[in-house]
Amino acid sequence: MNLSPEVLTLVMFGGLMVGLFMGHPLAFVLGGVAVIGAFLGPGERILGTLINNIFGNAMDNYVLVAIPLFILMARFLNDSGVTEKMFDAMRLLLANLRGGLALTVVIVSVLLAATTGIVGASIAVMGMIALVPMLKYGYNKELSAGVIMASGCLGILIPPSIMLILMASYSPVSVGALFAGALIPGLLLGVMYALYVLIICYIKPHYGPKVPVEERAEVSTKQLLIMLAKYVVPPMSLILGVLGALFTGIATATEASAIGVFIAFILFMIFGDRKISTCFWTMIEAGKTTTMVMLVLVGATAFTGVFSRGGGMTVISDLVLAMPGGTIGALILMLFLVFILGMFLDWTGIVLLSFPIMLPIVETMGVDMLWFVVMVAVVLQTSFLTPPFGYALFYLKGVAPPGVEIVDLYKAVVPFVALILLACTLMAFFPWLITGLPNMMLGY
Amino acid sequence: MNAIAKAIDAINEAFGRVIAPLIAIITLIVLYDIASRFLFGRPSDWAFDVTKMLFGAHFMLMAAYGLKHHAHVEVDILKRLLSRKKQAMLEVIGYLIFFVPFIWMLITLGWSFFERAWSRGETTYGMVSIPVYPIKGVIVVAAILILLQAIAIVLRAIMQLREEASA
Amino acid sequence: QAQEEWTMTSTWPENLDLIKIDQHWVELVNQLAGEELQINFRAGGTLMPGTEVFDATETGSIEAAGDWPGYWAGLNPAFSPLATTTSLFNGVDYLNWIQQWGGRELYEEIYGQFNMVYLPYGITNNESGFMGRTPIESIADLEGKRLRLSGRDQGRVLEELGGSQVTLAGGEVYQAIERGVIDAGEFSTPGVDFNAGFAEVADYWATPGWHQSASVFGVMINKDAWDALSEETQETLRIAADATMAWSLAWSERQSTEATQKFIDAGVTINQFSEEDLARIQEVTNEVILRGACESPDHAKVYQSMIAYLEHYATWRDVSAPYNMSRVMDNLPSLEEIEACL
Ligand code: NA
Ligand code: NA
Repeated sequence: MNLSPEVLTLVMFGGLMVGLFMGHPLAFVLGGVAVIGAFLGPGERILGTLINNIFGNAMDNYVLVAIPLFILMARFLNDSGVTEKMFDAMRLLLANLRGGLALTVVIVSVLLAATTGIVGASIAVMGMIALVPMLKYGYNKELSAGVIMASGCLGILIPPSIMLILMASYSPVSVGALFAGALIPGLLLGVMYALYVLIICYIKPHYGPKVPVEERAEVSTKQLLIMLAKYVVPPMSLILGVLGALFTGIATATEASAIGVFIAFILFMIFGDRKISTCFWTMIEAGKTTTMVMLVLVGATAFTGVFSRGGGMTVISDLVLAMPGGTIGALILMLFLVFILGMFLDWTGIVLLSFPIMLPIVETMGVDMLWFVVMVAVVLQTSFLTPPFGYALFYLKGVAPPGVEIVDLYKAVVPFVALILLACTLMAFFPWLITGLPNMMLGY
Repeated sequence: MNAIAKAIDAINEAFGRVIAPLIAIITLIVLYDIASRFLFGRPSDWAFDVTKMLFGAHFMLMAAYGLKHHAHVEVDILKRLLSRKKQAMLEVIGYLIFFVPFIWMLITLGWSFFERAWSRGETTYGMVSIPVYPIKGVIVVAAILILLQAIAIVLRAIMQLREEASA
Repeated sequence: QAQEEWTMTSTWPENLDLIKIDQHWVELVNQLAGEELQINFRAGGTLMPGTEVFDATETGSIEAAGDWPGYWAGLNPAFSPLATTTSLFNGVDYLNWIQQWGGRELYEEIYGQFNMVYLPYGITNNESGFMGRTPIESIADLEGKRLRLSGRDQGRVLEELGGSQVTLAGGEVYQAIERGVIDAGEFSTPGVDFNAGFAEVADYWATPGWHQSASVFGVMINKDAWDALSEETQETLRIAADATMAWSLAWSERQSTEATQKFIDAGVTINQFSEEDLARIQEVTNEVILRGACESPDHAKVYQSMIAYLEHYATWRDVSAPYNMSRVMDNLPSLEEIEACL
């Protein structure tokens, strides 16, 4: 058929929307649209590259081994019963603080972010261990889900991060400079989420209820301290163990996830029921979550391959170049495009497709490359959250208890997307938020 | 029809239960690799490749089990507003439009992808030569299992439609 | 004749400097043969992962792809010496051998087994060597060290010398050095390594890069796409490849020179192996080459041709000293023993 790139772009995104809202499994929608798009656009003979993409990007990709391992770690931790009790203890500890559990989620997520950069893994982990306790204690559904998804995405912004490594290999900025440049923005977002939680719960107390005075009074301070030691220390030691293995150089980021499984298994043997059958069902559940996350990636990599080959990105770059408004107009448009693309594609696709087109434009405009790349990294935080194709939404839905619907999740992300855009505005007006640390550390 | 759907369910249920424990083996291999590097000072020369291959096999071969248990991501906000008959029709249409081309591509092109590796005895190129064709063949096996499960789902949807028609 | 349009990609992503060799050739072809052939070049990773470009070119999903032959050694070990040698050829040896001593025909033969035409069009001389946070001043320092290194022959030599080969994904090397997961690692030439940020994490640099004494790059072209071209255009593509080859050698030496200065300015300490150590590495390498040659006839065939060249060329090269090119070696792997493996 050989559709023009413009028409093909419309047809592929249109097909994606239709299939998604028909309720067909997303992985097959992505894959099916990829095959149909190949026939309509670049032609049947490129179909082989879909297999090349699926094999090379998803199956034959060592760094993704962290996904099933972190998921298994979270399952063991859950089965040990420790996490629920940890949130119980944290809730009593922060009894007088509204939204204390949500705050705990932000803090644990930021810590986890320093171990992994794989969003699918972080969201599934936090979704499994935090959502049920929060709902149990009457937290607002949207706030609970939103804080888990938004903080879970920080893993890919706060170094070490596989996204930053990939971005470095597609831009003239080094990994070290990008790591340093993304640290402050990542932590800034974490602080903003925490403040949001505290403020919204202060204004609307029923969003994150305090512990009733009577219930707090049932537990003496001494009992609470024992609870804390018993149930907060083990999960924390798990996170610190993974972090420690990483920072002392015992293991790479991927290998550290196996150490996490090991420690979680020991916690299961100490606190859990120690049954072989429990172990077996844990692995079944971990396998279901893993295949859910990975099959979306399989479909997405097929889709992105055809989209790229069909010239979809050129359509978008022509749009940028035709834009009036000089440097600032072009920058805003490019970041806006990243935001829009983020609604449909995953970050890998966006980086691979957009950097070769956008970075030369940025260079000719004389804009600081490090600043721009980190800005893209921050904007990409929204790509996980924005409907219809926010993968954080799907990952959390996959592990959420019944009663949490995808529509709830759509509503949940709104304030957090707004916070990310606010952070972007801050970094546009105060570029030193990005360039300051690399400048100090590396003389960038 | 019901018998066929049940048989398919049984196959994928059994297969998924066999594949799931692979993740434990992956964990043990990675731990062994770390230990051999740090405790024995001799990194393993096969763990990297084997881990990667088992990982690819694990999630691909679990896909059909996941489909059976509705583990895969789908957005059902609009679908749920419809009658059961319309839902069943939508299901059949979805599988025809999106699933059929995708699975056809996976099986046919996946097969030639596997065949190229098989006929040449392609291996990894580390200190140990590990054959690559089994992991490439996983694509075809996984696709066939997913196809079977999809057939079971569509058969059930058709039965639903017939029931509604006769009622 | 109507204009052909090709889609070409590469094993190298946008930021890896090696992509400049591919781009140089594409620009030449589009200038010289633009009437009949237009090549749309896309950076590695944008259409498919770099590891899959061989399969995609073979099947004709894309018409051509720039590569480094060593990535395909799992399909045929002969790809390994077509890509690089452990302590054998330098850049000029590859140039001589490809152009005048039968090297070109071997590339065509081996790639021909996979329905492809191959035009070698890039040569870089010696790779950097090992960079890391632990000083390696001699072979003795390799004992018990964990080094990131790719390639089978390379790994075998390292293990013989007492070190251990660690396999890491390319994207993990930087962090693995930073955190000390490995003691040191090799990646590419100094120009490429510097841009990959190695000066930020490495304190020490052990030279020379004996593991990869020189490297060859080129373009794989699907046979059917090649056959669709007129003979004149085919010839133009070959001429562009030869021109790019000469350019790449000088260009990468210039890049390496500038990057070496940058490494020095960044405070990285350079240690060079002694002559005795290099002689020992040569001993081990010769054994490993023999062993590899005897494991596959195609592998033996390529090594046979390479060592026959070195022996033959020595006739004149040694007479012209000190104005000679190529490596002067009095200790070569045994040609007779390799020929026995054919
Ligand atoms: Na991270
Ligand atoms: Na999105």
